[in-house]
Amino acid sequence: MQIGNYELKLGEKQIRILLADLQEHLTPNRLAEQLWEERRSDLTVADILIIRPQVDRAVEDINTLLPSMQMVFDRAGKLPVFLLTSHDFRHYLSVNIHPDVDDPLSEADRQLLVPLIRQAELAEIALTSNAILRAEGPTIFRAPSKEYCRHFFRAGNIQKHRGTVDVFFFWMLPWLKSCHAIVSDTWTISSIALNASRLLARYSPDQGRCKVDMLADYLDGAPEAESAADAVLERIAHDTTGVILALFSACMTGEAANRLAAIASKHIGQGADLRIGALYNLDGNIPIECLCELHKYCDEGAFEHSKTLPETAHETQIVDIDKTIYFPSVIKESLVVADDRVARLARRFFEDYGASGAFFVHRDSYVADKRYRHHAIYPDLLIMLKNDVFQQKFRQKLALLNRLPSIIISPPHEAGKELAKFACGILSALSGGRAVRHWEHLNLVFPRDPNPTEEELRNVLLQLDENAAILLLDDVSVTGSRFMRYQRSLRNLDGNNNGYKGQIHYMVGLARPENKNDWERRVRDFEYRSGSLPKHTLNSVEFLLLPDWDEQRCPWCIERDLYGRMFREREELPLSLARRNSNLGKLGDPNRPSEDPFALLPLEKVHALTMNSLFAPSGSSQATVFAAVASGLQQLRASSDLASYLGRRSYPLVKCLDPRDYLGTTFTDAVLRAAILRGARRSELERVGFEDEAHRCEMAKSLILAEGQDDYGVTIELFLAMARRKIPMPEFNAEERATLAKRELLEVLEAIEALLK
Amino acid sequence: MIIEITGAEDLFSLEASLSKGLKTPAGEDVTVQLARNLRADFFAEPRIVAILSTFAARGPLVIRDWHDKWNQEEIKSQFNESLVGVAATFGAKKVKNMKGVLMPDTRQAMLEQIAIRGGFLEPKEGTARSNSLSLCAFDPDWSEPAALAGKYQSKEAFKTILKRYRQKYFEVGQGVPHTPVSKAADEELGDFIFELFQNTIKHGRLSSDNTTIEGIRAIRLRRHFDFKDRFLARSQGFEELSDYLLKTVPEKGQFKFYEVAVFDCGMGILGRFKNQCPEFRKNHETPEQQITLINRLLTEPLTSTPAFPGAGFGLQRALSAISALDGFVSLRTDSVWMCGHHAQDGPPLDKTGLKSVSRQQEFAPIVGTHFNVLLPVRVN
Repeated sequence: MQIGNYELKLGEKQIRILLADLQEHLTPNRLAEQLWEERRSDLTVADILIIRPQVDRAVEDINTLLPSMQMVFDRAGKLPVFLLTSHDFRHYLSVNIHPDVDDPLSEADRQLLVPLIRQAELAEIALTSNAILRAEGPTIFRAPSKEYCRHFFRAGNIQKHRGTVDVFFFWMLPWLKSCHAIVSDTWTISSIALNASRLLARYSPDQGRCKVDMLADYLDGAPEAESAADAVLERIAHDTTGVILALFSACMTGEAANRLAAIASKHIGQGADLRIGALYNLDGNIPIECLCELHKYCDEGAFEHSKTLPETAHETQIVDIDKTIYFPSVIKESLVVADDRVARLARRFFEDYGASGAFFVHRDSYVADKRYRHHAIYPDLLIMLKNDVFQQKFRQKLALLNRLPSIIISPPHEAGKELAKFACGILSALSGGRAVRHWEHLNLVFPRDPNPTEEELRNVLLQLDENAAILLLDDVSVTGSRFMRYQRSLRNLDGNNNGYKGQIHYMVGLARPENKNDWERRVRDFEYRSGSLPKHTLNSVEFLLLPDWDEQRCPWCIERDLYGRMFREREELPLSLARRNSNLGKLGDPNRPSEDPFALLPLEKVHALTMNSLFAPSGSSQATVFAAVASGLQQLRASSDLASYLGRRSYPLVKCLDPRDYLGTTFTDAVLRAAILRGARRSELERVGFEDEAHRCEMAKSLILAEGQDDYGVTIELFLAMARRKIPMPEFNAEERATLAKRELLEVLEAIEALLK
Repeated sequence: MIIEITGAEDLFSLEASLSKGLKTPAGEDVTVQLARNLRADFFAEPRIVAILSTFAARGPLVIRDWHDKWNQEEIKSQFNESLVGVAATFGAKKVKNMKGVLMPDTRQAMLEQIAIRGGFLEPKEGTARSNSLSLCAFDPDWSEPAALAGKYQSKEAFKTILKRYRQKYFEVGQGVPHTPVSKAADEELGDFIFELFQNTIKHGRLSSDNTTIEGIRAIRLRRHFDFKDRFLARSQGFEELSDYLLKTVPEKGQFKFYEVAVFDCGMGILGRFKNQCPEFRKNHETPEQQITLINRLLTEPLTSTPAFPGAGFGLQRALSAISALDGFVSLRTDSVWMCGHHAQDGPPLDKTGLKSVSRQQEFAPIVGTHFNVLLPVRVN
């Protein structure tokens, strides 16, 4: 399923859209069910749902699509639903088609929204596909244009899957009217060009053939490149009428496009026109049509090129981008050590809460008694709220509010209820006994026929003046989407742009963003209030960097999937793994906080941290240790210090964790080894060199075959890491297999081996 | 109190046995004398499982096997692999033979064997394909069968895997190409099994305080291939089912049905809903009121999570899928037994709901929620 989730600025208002593709293999019913199962949390915070029918079909009349949409309306609940279609090579956003919900968009809004969706969708593709190569630290790229740059955009990487190239076809449609030839500036985007030609034949069968060709080299003015381009243009212009589309992957200066236009002019005959278009604009000042202004989504000057080596960069290593494969010609690996810096920021947090058992792994969150989403790491605020330190901090935060709220609104879940109860008591005392009322609401979106409680809440909010204050309270904030939803709803409570006028205090028990900058930006955004009135506030009682992993990335969900695959491979599962599989279901059960998340040997022993651990106090549960290690690793991913930066793999500089940390002698507690193996991504563990990988394999094997249980206790965790290709699988000889058999591990090894075959 | 289950009983006699057993004074054993080769009547085996589970929840249950001696082969085929036998072993305090000798295999050993097999009962391949196939979860300790590992949450993944198992263990030849199940029907089949099994996970295994109740949850498929007169004989006085069979099965030639059972041993659909939604506890006590409320649950987005937009459509989807397949559905829960099928040219089941079984008989309260569906298998 292909679904985008974008926060857009539509004039003065923010709007959050869910864009779902009704791809060829899906019916509206299946799309509705998938939205419900996989994006339920997004459905509650979005403003509108947009369905894009199959992109290769022109839709003249949207009414033909409506009869099949009932289940989409059912599952969308109160969300307005729109159709994003095309007809005669133009894009259209329909009016709201959900019969039970009012249309929040005007005609002008809809027209504005289409290009905004295009920009957001294509930028998202670029930003999430490793297409932007970054020269970190003492390196700088020399691009095919021979210019120097810190960021290089490798457009070919955007072609992640079929859905992506179909998206490009959809947005390229206005360029494809009467188009009979496409020539791409590089073979790396040839899939987009070929797919466009193929889908065009379905979209407009009467239009006739659309040829495709591509340049082999970057048009840097070199005679060889120009003569090769000349041959391509001659070939493609031969007998071609109508539009010849020169499709550029990305434009920075427009020089290559000018060169191509000059070459094309020699070959294009009467009745044919050259149209130049680029997928991405990297600079902003070029006279070429571009689908996406990517530079607006990156740091200012991110793609800046210079013809000479920058003054400050003479000590740096120059990395050439090969002009035919568009990839760095060298790769440089460096190891990141998990030292004291990793744990420093979160140490105080885990000293305060480590022993309270507040952390769970592999647990679902519930809102309004409905499963909301899955969390690999789940801090339970009901437990944290019982902690004296938390209560003390919560009191202090409430006391510091410059205007005391008379109303608290929280999402309908247990933690929200308890936090609100606590806050009501404190606020009431602070305001001399004035009653503070608590309301629960999912998103402050009120239906046409609100129930009496909702109606009362809406009226109360509408009646409050600009001197009033309310407290929006949630247990945990990951991305801030719940507060954003509240914020947008409060601006328009009745559908007529009448909103709440007073001050808003946003308060969260635990802010757990993936990146500190995200949170700081969020604070700035939420605190904004026009005029001279007191600003809104955003506070968290506690703060911790944590990875935000749902089912797709939860290590325990992935482990469970492995067992499913193993079973299907062999028709049976070793008993120890069958038991483990069943126990995984109990991990997130708040009634069973003692379930151990790691598969350590012996399985019946309680494995705990030894004294003086860097990450969490001794006695912390395994789930807490995992949270502490995951937080430390997240700190490395978000680090601004290059020496400890472990972010996205960004060639040519490849960073990975030092294997001595988890396979050697740095952290020898089985619990810590297991936490790193589960908490680190494959790319953060995998070495680039073959010999380095062989060494890692040997280190793992030594642990597995070690004499002491403290070492080999981590065997199953290592096997699971091998199944996920985080560690290479060693060969075991007969004697070594006999050792594993004695430890009742041979069956497990064989199951993993069968899976890897 | 000794209850005999010989395999000759029809569903209504089984219900009478349930009523009889439940009259046993508190604390006293209920002994069920259980035959091994039960007849292949529609819905009978899952109903026996429901009855055994109800007895086990009431108090001490003793199973008495009809044989004098224990035979390892027979123990395996009856008490470790057949759904009724496994339910008996799981629920019973003791399993004895006619001479009072305890069965040598323990419940724990049985559960481990089933766990190794991924939760499957009677999976057979090749020429020895089974007439039935069950996939079981045993709460609270073996609640996730490995065969479904990672496939619970996603409907599409669940359907794909279920289809694969069905074709592999259950179909003749290579599955769909050799068995007259159309692709669309296959989709619908997966839809309703997913929805009903999801309900067992979300509600059917939980107590009033959301802790896990001990019990079996299962999906069971059984194949019936026969002539019309024999099918009618198998409906055994179940008038609504007989009517359905009369209308559905052609006069000549053999016909094929899938019988699908999805059940749990929890609080029951009504008990759980009323527990979650206290406002429905009043005015829903009589059987008529209960039937009305169940039908609202089946046909409206009436949900235990009303504050969550979009919730409450699962059971409607299930009934819609059964209607699309021209299936017959029976629902047994609490003291209610309901059934229905999509009448030709009439509105689908998700609009009409189900009707109470017309037989003038009171039904004893049974644990759990038991959906039984009969589906004609034909090419669309």
